[in-house]
Amino acid sequence: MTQAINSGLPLIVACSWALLLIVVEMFSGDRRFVGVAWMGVIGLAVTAAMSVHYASVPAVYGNALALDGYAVYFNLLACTLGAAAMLLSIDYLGDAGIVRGEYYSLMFFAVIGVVIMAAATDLIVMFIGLETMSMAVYVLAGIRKSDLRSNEAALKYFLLGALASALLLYGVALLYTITGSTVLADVSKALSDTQHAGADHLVLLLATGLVLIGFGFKIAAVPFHLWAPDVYEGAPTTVTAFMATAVKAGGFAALMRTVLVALAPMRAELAPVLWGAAAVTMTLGNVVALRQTSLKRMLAYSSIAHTGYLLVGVTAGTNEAGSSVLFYLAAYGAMNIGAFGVMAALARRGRGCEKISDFSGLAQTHPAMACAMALFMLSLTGIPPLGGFVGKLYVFTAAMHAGLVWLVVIAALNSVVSAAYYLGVVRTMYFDNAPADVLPPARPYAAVVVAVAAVVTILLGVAPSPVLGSAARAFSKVLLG
Amino acid sequence: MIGTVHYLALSAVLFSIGAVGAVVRRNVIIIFMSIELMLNAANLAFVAGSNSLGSMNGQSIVFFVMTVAAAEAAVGLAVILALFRNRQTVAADEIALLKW
Repeated sequence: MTQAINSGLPLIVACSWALLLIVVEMFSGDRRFVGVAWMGVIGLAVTAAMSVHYASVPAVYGNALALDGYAVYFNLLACTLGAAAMLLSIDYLGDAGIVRGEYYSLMFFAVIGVVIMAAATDLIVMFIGLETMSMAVYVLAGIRKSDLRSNEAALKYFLLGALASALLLYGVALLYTITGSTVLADVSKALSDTQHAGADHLVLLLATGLVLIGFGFKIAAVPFHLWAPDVYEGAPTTVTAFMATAVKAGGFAALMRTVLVALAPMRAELAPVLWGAAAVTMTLGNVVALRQTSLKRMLAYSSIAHTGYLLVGVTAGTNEAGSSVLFYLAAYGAMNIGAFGVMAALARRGRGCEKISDFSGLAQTHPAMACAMALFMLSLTGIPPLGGFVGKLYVFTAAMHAGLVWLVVIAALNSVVSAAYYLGVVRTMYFDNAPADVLPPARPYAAVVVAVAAVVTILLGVAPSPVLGSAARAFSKVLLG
Repeated sequence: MIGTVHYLALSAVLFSIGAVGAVVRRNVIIIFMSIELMLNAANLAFVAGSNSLGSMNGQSIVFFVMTVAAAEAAVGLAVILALFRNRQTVAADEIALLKW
């Protein structure tokens, strides 16, 4: 009983804190933004610390929730990324004319959703976490209420997200009628104990397909990626930063637990599907990114390509691959929050700083920002000795060990193609001339976040062992048997 | 005698109607209604499964799904309303500022 309360305590505190943020915002005066943002950051730190303190392996609440190493790892990741996005937002929001205090509360709830998704060991709890996260992000995407692009981004994200949730839920309902449970371990046991032949087998395949499509939407895997570029482009930059990192981490947290635990007995049927999805996702993401002129849209396609790389790890499905995916998500989070952070630091009202050409000559006017941006681009390409390189190296090595040689070849070729557009940004910053009206100076809070992200990106490259070790420990207890 | 299979068949029909509606209809509100229909088809499947398995889990899950659907309606209609205020339209084809 005590253990049940303890495992739930970080979530209970986080939810109360998020609600408290709304109340504080309501009763505060002019300086509300900075105060509420810092309260949000402190709340996330408390949540992360509590989850480390109360970590325990066994699942509680009828096997619905487990604050195990896996959940704690994603908890720390989501809280860090959420805090970074909140700090980026402090100056950005006021300037963009978003005077809404509920922003930070919604972002907090989105982090809570990610945490629930990672801690869930029951498909319905996972669904509730997914919805908690998604609904907060739908509103965040459309928080610029008078901006048509923001409206449209929110609408597209909402309609496709709700459709994906409905497909996922129907898949879960079918799995429940077949296996008699929604608990991941029980579903797995029921699937491996009984042979499902004929019509039953078809329904099982349908259910698995629906669940995969639902998660595929959330992580923006091809062919369910169509929303991503539009939503990333239309949403405020700080929200896009959050979506590209924390929301994607949440999607992968849930996808990996579902595919590698509950659907583990379906491995033979799933492997080709995941293989194909990984190959098509990274290829399409990289090829379409080549011809983008908007940096935000380019990063959206780049994030689709990275979904493909991560799916390589999920396809391999071994302990080694799982922990590499966890590490990759951390490296990807650091470099992506940094890249969007540079955009948010330089953006001003009426000058979105969203086109690649907006950054021409940045090295002359903002040497530090240009250097950081170049670092993130090189890391996204996968150039040693940066975090992105180490992440790719481990994921691809694990896939090789699992016998996915051709998939790794495709992924390596993709990395080469991706260099073209990432290095294009570096070229624009260093070799093009700055326009007459130079960009304003970088904002302080955002500059600090960018600096920290740059340091983390380098550290994950030169000294990956601490994070890699904790990723390996986090994943070691996830797979059954 | 109406059995579990019939309920599941009905839920499959409802789900299919919803899925087709969500894809072919061009009015944002009707697309949203179709999605709600899909959620309720899942509810019916949960209740039917719960009945045939003799476990109450499926029926309690329905309460969670209903809550989620209500929250989704609140958020979704707010998003649609915000768009309508700026654009005076709920036709999906006309909402194409960001190219798909």
